[in-house]
Amino acid sequence: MTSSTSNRRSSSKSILAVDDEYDIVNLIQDSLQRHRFRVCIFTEPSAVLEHFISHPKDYDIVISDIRMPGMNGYEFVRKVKESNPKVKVILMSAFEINDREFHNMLPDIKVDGFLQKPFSIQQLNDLIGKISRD
Amino acid sequence: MDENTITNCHVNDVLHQINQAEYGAHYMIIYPDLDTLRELYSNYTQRQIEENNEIVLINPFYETTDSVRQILSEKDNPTIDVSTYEKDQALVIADALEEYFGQQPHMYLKRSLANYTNKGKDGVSVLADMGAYPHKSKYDDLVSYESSLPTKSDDSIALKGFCLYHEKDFDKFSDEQKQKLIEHHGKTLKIAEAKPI
Repeated sequence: MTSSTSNRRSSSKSILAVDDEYDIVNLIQDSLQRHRFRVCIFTEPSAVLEHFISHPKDYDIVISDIRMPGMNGYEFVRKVKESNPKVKVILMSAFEINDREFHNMLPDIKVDGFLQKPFSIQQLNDLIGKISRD
Repeated sequence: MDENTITNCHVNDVLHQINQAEYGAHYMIIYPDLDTLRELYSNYTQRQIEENNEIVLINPFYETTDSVRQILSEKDNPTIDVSTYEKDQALVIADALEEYFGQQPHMYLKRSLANYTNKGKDGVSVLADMGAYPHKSKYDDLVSYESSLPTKSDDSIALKGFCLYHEKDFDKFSDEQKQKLIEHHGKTLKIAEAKPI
């Protein structure tokens, strides 16, 4: 599986999510759809980056895992921001996020939120709700 | 078999080959996805600990150490008693980023090699995901590290090393780097992606 899109309501915020584990992005899609977000999910960072670069204005929020084979989340987010500096980004990880590594990898990039895996649907919804309002 | 090429195999064939590996072996295994890797390490670990009386060191990168524990614990027929094995240090699970880039690099490997005879074990098997290097964009460093290791080490050191590369990480290396990596392993085994029936 590479991508899956849900277009339930065209006026709602659009979210793009990538994680190399399908179960994670599927959970994100299921839970955010219930709150009427439009959600597109991918499991391959190179494929999602290609998609995003073709549609940089179509998304309000991008959610990315950090440890992914082929392209890590830092590199992905940096390229996403190059394509659309206004898009909001959330990084997620099952690992402790190393501050030094984070600042080395993304010295000039604002990350709008972090999700520590495993996260609850409530935590996800709260963070998305907060970022959507900002 | 030509030792400077990649051999494409089903996961069961790779499992068979690494089960047959002798001490001193240094193989590269290219895997297509996490589920396939889990199938490989869960089957290998049980056999090496139970039947071959070895210490097994697993260094995951794309999943947490707790995830590895859960995968091993869920295995049935036969089951793996993860907590007992870890307590006995027959099973050591340590994050690859910590093992390769932590404050004490290779700490878990050194400790396992220093301890195996005291623990009454016959040797050590290492299943190490090399993903920490591509994650840090240290491609040349990984080639240098692998090149520093013999394709087959002195069999007086009872060590079998299996370097695990996610296919998408391996694809990021240049052709020259790939060739060097292949040349510095006794065997390079690429697990074919399972096709849906």
